[in-house]
Amino acid sequence: MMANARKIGSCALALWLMAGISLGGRAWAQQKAEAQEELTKGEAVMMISASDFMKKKIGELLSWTIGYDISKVSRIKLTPTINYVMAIPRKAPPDGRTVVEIVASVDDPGGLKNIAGVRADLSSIGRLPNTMLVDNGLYGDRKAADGIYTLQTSVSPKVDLGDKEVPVAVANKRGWLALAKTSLDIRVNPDIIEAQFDPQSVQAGSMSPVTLTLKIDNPGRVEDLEKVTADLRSFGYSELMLLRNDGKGGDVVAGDEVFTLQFRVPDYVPGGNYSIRVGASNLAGGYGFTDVALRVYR
Amino acid sequence: MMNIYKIAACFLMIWTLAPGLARAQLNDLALNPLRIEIGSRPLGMGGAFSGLADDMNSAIYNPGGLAWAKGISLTVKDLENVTAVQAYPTGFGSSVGLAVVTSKISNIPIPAGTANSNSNVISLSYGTKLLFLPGFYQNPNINRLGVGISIKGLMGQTLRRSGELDRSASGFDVDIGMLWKGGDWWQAGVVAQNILPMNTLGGGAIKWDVGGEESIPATGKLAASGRVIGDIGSPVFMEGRELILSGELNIHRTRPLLMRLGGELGFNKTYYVRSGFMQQHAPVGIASNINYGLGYRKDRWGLDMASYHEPASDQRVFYASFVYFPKEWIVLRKLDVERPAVMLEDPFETISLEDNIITYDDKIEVFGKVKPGVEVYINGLRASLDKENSFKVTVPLRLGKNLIIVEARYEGEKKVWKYKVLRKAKVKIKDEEKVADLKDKKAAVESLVTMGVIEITPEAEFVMEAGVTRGELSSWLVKSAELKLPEVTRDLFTDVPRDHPLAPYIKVVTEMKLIMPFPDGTFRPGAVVSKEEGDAIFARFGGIK
Repeated sequence: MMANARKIGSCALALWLMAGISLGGRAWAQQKAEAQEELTKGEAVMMISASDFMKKKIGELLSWTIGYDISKVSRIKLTPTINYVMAIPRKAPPDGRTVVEIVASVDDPGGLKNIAGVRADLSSIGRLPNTMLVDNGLYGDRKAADGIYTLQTSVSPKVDLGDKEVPVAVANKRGWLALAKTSLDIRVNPDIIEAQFDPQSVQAGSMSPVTLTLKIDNPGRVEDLEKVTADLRSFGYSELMLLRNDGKGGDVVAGDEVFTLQFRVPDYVPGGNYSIRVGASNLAGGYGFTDVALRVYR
Repeated sequence: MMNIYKIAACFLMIWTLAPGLARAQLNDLALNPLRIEIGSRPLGMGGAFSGLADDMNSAIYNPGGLAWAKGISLTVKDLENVTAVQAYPTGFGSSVGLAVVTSKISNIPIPAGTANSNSNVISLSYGTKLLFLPGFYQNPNINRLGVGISIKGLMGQTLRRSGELDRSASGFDVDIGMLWKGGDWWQAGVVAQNILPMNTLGGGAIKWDVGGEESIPATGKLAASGRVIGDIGSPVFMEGRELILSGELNIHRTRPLLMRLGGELGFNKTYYVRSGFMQQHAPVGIASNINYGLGYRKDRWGLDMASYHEPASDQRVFYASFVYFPKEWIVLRKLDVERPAVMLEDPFETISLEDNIITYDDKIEVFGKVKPGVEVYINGLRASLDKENSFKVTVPLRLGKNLIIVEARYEGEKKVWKYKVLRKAKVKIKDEEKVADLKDKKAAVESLVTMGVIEITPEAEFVMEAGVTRGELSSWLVKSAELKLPEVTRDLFTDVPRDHPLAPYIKVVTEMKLIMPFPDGTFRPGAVVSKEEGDAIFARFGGIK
C-alpha cells in the first residue's frame, strides 16, 4: 500500500511539475509575443520606398523628362459611332416640296444618353448648314430614343442637278465628334428602268390583250408621278394611253413602282415591228421616256 | 501616289533632255556659279539638303520645300563671300524665295598659275502646295506635296587667270524641285537644276564678253531625309533630342555620280551638331570630304557655322550663318490657333512648368477656340466645335503618366501641342491626425498606389498604423521589385492552396527567401509581420537588385 501510495504521489508530483513547467512556458511565450512590435503598413511603405530601386522608380514617376512617349497617349474610344447615314429617298427633285429624310443611326461609348446632338450640313441641297436631327419620335422620327435620328427636309429649287454630299456630325456630351456623310442624287426626270410587252409578239385582231409593264424610278416618291403614258396611236388609239398603278386592269400591286396597261391590237393594224414610246412625267416637271418594241403579225 | 511618280518622272525626263555639257572655261575649273551650294546648315550636313529643305535654304537647294519654309539667313565667309536668303510665306501654302549670292574663289590652281572667280547671282523662287487646283484641294497626298521653281540670274561673273585676259560673263537658268512629305518624320525630294537647254529663252548658257558662251551643266537630285529620333511621330521617341539623317544622289550627264550624306543632332531644339559626307566635282575627278557644323537657336534667332571643303581651290573654308524666323511675317495666316488651355477640375498642385500637370482626377478638360475651318483633334480624336468655334473635351486619365496631344489641322497644315499629365492615386488615410510624418508617408503611399504596388479602391481608407500581414507584404515586395510571377500548379503550403489569390507572390518571396515559411508547413499569410521579422525581410529585400 505504502509503495503504491508513494508511486501515486510521485506521479502526482511529476504531473504537477510538468503542468507547472508547461503553464510557465506558455506565459513566457505569450509575454514574448506581446513584447514583439508589429510592423505597420506605414512603416512597410516607407521601407519599400527607401530601397534604392524604388527611389529610382519614384524619381522616374515624378520626372517630366522620362517616360512621356507615345505609349502614354490614351487610345480609349471616346467619339460617338455612326452606324449608318442614309437619305430617303436616295433621289429627289429640286422642287422644294418633296420630303427627303436624312436618317442616321448613332451610338456612343457612354450610351445614347451621352449623345449631345446630331446635325447635318444641308448646304449642298440649299438648306441650313447646321440642321438638327431628332430622336424624339416626332418630325418623321419613327421611334424615340432608339439611336436613330431623323431629319425631314426638301431640296431647294435653286440647287443644281447631280450628286450632293450631306455630311452628318454627331457630338457627345464630352465634346467628341464623329463624322459621316451620305449622298443624294438631285434629279428631275423619272427613269424608266424596265419596259416590256407581254407577249412581245401579237397577232392583229387577237382578243388576248397585250400587257405593257413599266418600272419607274421617280426622284422623290412614286406618288409624285403625274402620269405614265404609252403612245399607241400607231394602233389606232386616238390619244396617249395612261398606265395605271391602282392594282386593277392587269396592275398587280397598287402604289408600287410598276405601272401597267392592257390593250388590244385591232385587226386592221398592218403587220410589222412597232416602236412604242412610253413616258412618265412627275410633279416636279420632269419627263422620262423610252421606246419599246412590239411585233405585230397577221 | 501615282501623280507623285508622274511628276518625278517628268522632272527626270526634263533633266535628261537638257543639253550636254560643252567644254568651257568655268567647267574646266569645276566652277558653276549657278549651282549654288551655300548656307551653314546645309553645308554642315554635307550639302544633303534637297530632301530636307525645311528652312529658307530650300530656296537654293529645293524650291519645292518653300511650300513650308519661312525665314531669313545671312551667310558670311568673308566680306567677299556673302549670301542673303529669305523665304517669305504667302499664307496660302506657298512662299516666295529670294537669294542674293556674292562669291569669290581665289587661288584656284591652274597650269599657268592661279585663277580667281567672282560671281554675283540673284535667285527668285516660288514654292507651293497644289491646293489651288480644284481636284486636289482636299487630297491629303497633295497636301503633302510641294513644288517649286527658281529662276537664277548670273548678274556678273569675272574670271581672272594668270597669263590671260580677264573675262566677264552673265546668264540665267532655272531649277525646279519637288518635296514630298511622305510621313510625319520623313520626306523625299527631286530637283532638276539648270534645266534650260542652251539658249532657250536666252538662258541656259553663260555668255562671255569675249569668246562665245558655254552651257550650264544640268544636275538631277534624288534626295530623302528622315527625323529618325525625335518627338511624337518619330520612329524613336526621345524627349529633347532629335536626329535628322539626309542623303541625296546628284546625277550629271557627263560627270560622275555624286553622293551626299548628312546628319543633324539636336538638343532641346537649341543646340545642334552636324556632320556630313560631301562629294563634289573637282577640276580632276571627285573630291570627297567630311563637313562639320554647329547650330544654335534662341527664340526666333539662330547661328549656324560650318566647315566646308571648297573643291576648286582645294581649301577648307568656314561659313557662319545668322538666321531669323519672324513670327508674324506672313501675308495671310490661316492656321492661327491659340494654345488650348487645360482646366483641372480639382487642381491639387501647381508646378513651375506650365505644361506639366499633376492631378488626382481621373479626367481632364481641354478647351480652346480656333478660327473657322480649323479642325481640332485630341489624341487623334476629333473634337466638336460649337458656333463660336470653341471646343471643350474631357480626356480620361490613367494612373501615372499621361501624354495628351492636341492638334489643329487646316488644309494639310498641322500644329501640335503636347501636355504631360501625371495622375497620382488619391489615397484616403484613416485617422490622419494620428499618423506621424503624415506628409512623407502619404506621398510614399500615393506613389506606390500610382505605380500599382499597392492596390486600394478609391473609397477605401489606408490604415497606416495597422499591422502589415505576411501576404500583403509578399505582394508589395514582388510588385515593387517587378519580379516575374510564376504559375502555381500545386498547393504551396497547408494554408496556401494553389488558387490562393496571393499564391504567386508567396511562391516568389519564399523561393527568394525574402519571407520564410513556418516549420509546421504553414505560411500564415494573414499573420502580422513583426518589426524584427520586417527588418530581416527588408535587409534581404534590399539585396535583390
